[in-house]
Amino acid sequence: MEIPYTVKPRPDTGLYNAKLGIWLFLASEVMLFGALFSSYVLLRVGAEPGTWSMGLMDLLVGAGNTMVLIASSMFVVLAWAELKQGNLAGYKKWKWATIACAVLFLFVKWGYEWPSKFKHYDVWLNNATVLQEKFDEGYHEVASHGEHGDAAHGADVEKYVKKIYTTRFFKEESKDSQLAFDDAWRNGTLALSGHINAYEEAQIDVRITGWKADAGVSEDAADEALVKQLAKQDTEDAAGLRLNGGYLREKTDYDTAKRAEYALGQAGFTVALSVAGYKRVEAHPWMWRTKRVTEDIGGKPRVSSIVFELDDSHHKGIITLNAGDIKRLSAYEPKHSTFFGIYYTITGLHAAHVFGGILIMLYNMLPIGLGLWHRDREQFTNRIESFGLFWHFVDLVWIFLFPILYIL
Amino acid sequence: MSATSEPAKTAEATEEQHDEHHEHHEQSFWRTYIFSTDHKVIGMQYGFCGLAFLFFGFCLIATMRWSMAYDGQAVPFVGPLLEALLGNNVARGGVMSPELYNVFGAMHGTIMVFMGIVPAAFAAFGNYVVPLQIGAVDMAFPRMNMASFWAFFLGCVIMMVSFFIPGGAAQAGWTSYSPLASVIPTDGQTYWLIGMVMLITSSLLGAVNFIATIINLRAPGMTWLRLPFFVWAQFITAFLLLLAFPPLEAAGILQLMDRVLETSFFLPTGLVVGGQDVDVSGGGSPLLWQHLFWFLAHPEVYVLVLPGMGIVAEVIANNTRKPIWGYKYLVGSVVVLGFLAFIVWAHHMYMTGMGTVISAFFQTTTLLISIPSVIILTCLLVSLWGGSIRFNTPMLFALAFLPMFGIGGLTGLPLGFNFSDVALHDSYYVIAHFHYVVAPGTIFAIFAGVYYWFPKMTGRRMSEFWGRVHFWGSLIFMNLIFMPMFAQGMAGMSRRMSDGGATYSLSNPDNADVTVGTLSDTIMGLNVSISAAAWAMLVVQLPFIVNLFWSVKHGEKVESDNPWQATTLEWETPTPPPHGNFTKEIKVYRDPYEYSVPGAKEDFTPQAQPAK
Amino acid sequence: MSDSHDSPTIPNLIKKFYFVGGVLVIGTIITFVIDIMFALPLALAAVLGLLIALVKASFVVAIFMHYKWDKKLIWITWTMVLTFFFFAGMMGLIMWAEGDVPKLDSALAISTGTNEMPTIWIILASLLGVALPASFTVFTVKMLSQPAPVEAAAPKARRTAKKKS
Repeated sequence: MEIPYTVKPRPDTGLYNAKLGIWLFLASEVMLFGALFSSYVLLRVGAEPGTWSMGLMDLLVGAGNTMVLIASSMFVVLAWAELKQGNLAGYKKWKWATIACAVLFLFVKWGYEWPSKFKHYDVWLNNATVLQEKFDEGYHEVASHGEHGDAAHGADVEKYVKKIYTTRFFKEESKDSQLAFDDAWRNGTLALSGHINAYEEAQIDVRITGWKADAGVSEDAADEALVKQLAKQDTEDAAGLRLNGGYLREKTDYDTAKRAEYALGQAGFTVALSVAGYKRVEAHPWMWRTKRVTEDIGGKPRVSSIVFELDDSHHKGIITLNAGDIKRLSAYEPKHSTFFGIYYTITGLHAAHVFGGILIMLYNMLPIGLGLWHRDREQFTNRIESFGLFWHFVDLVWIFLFPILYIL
Repeated sequence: MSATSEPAKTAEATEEQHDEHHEHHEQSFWRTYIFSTDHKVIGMQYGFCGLAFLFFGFCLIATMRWSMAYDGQAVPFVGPLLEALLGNNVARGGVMSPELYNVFGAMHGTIMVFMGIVPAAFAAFGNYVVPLQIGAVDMAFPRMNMASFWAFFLGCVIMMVSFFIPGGAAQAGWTSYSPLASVIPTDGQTYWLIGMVMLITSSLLGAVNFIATIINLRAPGMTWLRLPFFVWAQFITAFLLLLAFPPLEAAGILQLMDRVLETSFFLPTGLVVGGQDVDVSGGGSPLLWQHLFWFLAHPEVYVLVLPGMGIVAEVIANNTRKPIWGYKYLVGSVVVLGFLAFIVWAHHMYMTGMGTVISAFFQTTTLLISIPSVIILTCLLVSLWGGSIRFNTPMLFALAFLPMFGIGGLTGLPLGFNFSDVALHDSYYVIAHFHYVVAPGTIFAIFAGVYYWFPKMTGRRMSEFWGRVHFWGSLIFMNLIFMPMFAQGMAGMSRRMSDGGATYSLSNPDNADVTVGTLSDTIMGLNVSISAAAWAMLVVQLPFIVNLFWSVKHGEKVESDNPWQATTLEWETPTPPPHGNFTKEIKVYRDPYEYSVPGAKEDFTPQAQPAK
Repeated sequence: MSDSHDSPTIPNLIKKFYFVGGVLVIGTIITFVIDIMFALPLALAAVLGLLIALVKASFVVAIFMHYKWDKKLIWITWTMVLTFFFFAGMMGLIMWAEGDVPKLDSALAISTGTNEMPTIWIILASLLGVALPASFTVFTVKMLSQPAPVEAAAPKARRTAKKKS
């Protein structure tokens, strides 16, 4: 039983089934991305002045990725043209080129762009005094060395910050931008942006303070749970701990401590965590949030201080922020602001479409998909044409995304 | 079979190519009945699931009605079951807690709309009947058809599983408004969103299939104006689904991000929940969710109703033995209706503080859209004039559809006006209005369709006697349920109150000093009668269920392939239709409702019968 | 593939593909340069960027997606037209709804809604309001005057049913 017009177009509509189907599908995709674009526009236009960040995207990388996708668009249609001329080898060549471009696009996006954002932070400090103090500290180096023309003296530091702030939230100076900046500077609500170079992480002592015999857990089971959490496997020590209390672990890391707390809590124990000291870690963490730094462990914060390098300071503007100074800390992740939320959503959905396209292209390149070429050339060519339409749509979305997200 | 859709990923293509040589390929039980690409099997799969979920959704509301009528008392029979299944947080002692009421309420709406009516009216009848009525061998993309059913099934599984997770299923209404839906800590809401994404995907794939099939696979001679009205209705419905669902999918993704990744698309700055500041960036807009949701949900209500109108048109034409009056008006109206459906949505949002100008715009389009609806109903009504009416069970349901849908439509008018909606918004009046269009509206049409096409699917008729019992019971109780709700709504009773409004009732001692906005005993008393009618309605569905299953094996056998003596193409097939549908070549020579043609031997002339 | 008679030969088409590729690359470079080199006010940068994007998009749709020669396939055209209309409607109406809110003039009075619609919107809305139904009608008429049926149609049915004896 054969479905008519699968390969040959129907005379009065001029379409074969798949071509009609793919255009209909693209219509629904326009509505999908359209809804996201509308949301973007609405959130953008409705944002309070001074809350929407601009210019945080790396324009060069974005433009480069645009070129990559344009190239892939061209390659995919050249592949189809080769097929129309009966040239399988030519098709394969152009198709591999398309796949390579698509993979490169994803690599740049998921391997470079997104990770670099996840390591970039905004920090909001508790009040104006703290803000100004820390800021002065950080830019002291820059100011005294006169690295930047307009930050030659301490008094010009504020002007310098204002320039960064204005460009980020207002693009150009205006009365609104002046007012907003003055407000933020005075109230200490200005965010400092930069990278975390190092931090002091708590080393935690885990202490057993008691055991509830009526918690529904037998003594043996409780001892077993203790042994699992102990650094050494000694049941005698376990029984002792259960009866008298004592240190389970000393100077251990957060994850081990929390795991022990949970597991032993389930086993009927009361566990107390306390901070024995802090250890310096030289690393660039990913996706930290406020709680990651300020979480209270027995009265002390999980991270006592972070070494924060301010943006645009050429490695000179380095300050130490204590947990107590910090009101909010956020990487450039979806949660950071609605701008980033919509950015990751739209580019993420787009990238998912690119990924899906790669899978389909691979299917049509490997023997499993090429089987159709040998059975029915015209149908295979049509299939590639339909895919091409999808791929061009993916390119179209990016053509609009690029100016909207990167330039605006 | 060598049908292809967008590049498919199955390796069965090779296998099927070999099988092309054989007349009947031997297919396993699984390929024939479970993972079938045949539109008839898929149609029955959708139908079975749709009817089952309609019943389940009805059971949910039947349980809720106990809480409304007898708040605080344990639910008989069902109460212990609830407590056993869902725990005594929400059903202690068999008494529904307000949270459980909200869960049932949200899921009743979701299940009835997305897992009940859409699969039953659009997907089931559409998949089964549309290819037959246009003279095609199957849908344009059979494998994608199967994929769409299984995506639907997966969505249903996710929704049902969510009842049993800690915290229960979604509670924020079928409308899932933010900020509540974004901040509510139970995971049910997240499951709801994921389930919705699957259901939406299924509908999108189905919509592409329907449109491509109707455009490209019509038999020779089947011009646009010879299509049965049912096919027109399904065509427009498919367009509504295609273009209106994606914004909800986008919104669902955004709300999912709000819940899982703590973004603030729909959360405003400075949100305080439970006395504490919420730790998110803010800057979002709760209204944005409403716009995106209602952008779909308004076309969705036309999705619910149009297939029903299509079924009713078929049944009426057949049982009046004359053509439908005003076929061209019907087609024009349904096309314009589909177009206007996209620009009326904010009449669900009159109370959100929109200004007068934009409200006026939406009021205008809302009133405009009532015109094609009235035209359609009028054409169907006028079609009865001069007819030789056969009062069989499908016809009874189709006839009842007309006044019931009329009541539903007319009662929508006060809701369409901004000024009157102020009083009626979110009251029981709204519930009565939309249930009239969908319940004695579309569901009656679904029943009509089941009784009507059952002989074609199985070769046997359903019992006429029990069909009439089912009909009269349903009609009477349906009205006893929903008619009083208009009164309750106009008296000010709000929706979604688990105690049935007892908090606001005049007999509540707390309200002794209050003289306005409280509910009289009469109004409160209606809760009991409505609930009783709902339970009676549940009982009256049992003959239908039994009839349906019993008749498959024991119903009266039909004497021909065309037992109703109908003109449309689906009756030209053997009974039940085999794989490939038609055993002879189909060409179309006539209009779809050529009943009582002057000079013809019989009182019906099939579309495929050549002119002499 | 849907062969329209005026669809160019493949070698010709390939030349066009390269041409469009060039256009796209140049468009991207211009967008990039405009933004880097000139400190344009936001609104102007937005309009320019989107205009260039629109030009690029038109080339992709017309040549890469073969639409220039598929225009007469009314189903594709119509699907696109409807989609864009509904997309524009969705975005436009949502923006309008969010913007048209009652404004608090003073502690004593609440003024309702915007006082007047900007003239440009009225003009655009009227154009859209005329263009859409007009094209809708044209399309419907075209679609419904399909090629002749297979055989001459039989005499039509009467309006009333034959009474059964």
